[in-house]
Amino acid sequence: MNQLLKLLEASENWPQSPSFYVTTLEALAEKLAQKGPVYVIGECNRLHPLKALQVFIRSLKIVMKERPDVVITTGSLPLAIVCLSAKLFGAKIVWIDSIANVERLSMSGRFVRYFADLLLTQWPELATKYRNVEYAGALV
Amino acid sequence: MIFLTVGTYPLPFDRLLIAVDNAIANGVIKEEVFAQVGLSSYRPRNMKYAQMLDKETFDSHFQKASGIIGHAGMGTITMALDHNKPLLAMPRLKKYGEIVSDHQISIARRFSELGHILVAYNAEDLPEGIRRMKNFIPRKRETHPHAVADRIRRFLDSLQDLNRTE
Repeated sequence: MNQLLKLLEASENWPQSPSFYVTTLEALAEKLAQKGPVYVIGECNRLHPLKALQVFIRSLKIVMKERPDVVITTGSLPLAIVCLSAKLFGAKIVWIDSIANVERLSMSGRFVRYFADLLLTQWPELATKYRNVEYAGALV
Repeated sequence: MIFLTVGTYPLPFDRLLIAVDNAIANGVIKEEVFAQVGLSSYRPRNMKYAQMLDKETFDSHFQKASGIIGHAGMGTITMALDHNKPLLAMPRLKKYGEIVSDHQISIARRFSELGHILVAYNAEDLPEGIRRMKNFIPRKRETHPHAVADRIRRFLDSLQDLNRTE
């Protein structure tokens, strides 16, 4: 989340500002709510497949309503599920793997790699280790 | 004052609390310590503590502290670097039920190799880390959010070009 905020600060609103935001917890939604509409999808991890299914269903609902052209995210697993849902409806996916993954891409990053349109790592070494993974710099 | 934080991670980290509590009892730490203990079950004897702190109180403890002891989470590490505070980090380990994967070890190793933080890989390393923390000046970290944003902007521009040619 901290990494995403640093990116948004530096983005100078890109060609256009994001039209909506998705995060995992109410507590994190506050900062984003100042920027635009926020959806909260809840947390999940690999140990709780049922929660992941809930997140998937919520993601599909959001994606069907909003029909995003592009999804930009710094992870983690719940957001990988959002990426998959959005991809099913034709969105382009930009995944920035978290700085926390030093020696290999995150599990979510490795999953998203199958369908992402731009995949960035924040460690130069990892860009040489995987095909189609780029290093453009570190957010934090 | 030393500020001890185990982050907002939803699992206990008793090992770090016990190690710091012992370090106070043994006189390795002579300064006052305040701890944010999260979901840990150990109740410190030698330091004041709170389970969770609101953001304002957390920030004020962080700023007042001469040094930070914490888990090796990215939130704690980036906050220490942003405030230019010496951080002694102990990685949470999966085998003790402190985390679901062992990625904090490699985070701690990389950031300490880069001179940004100090690491105690286990409780035995902690006293040495505390001694080194007194004179430790964290190396400033160079970040590149604008370069990352520019790369993404180029990607977004390429999509718009595609739409135009369609």
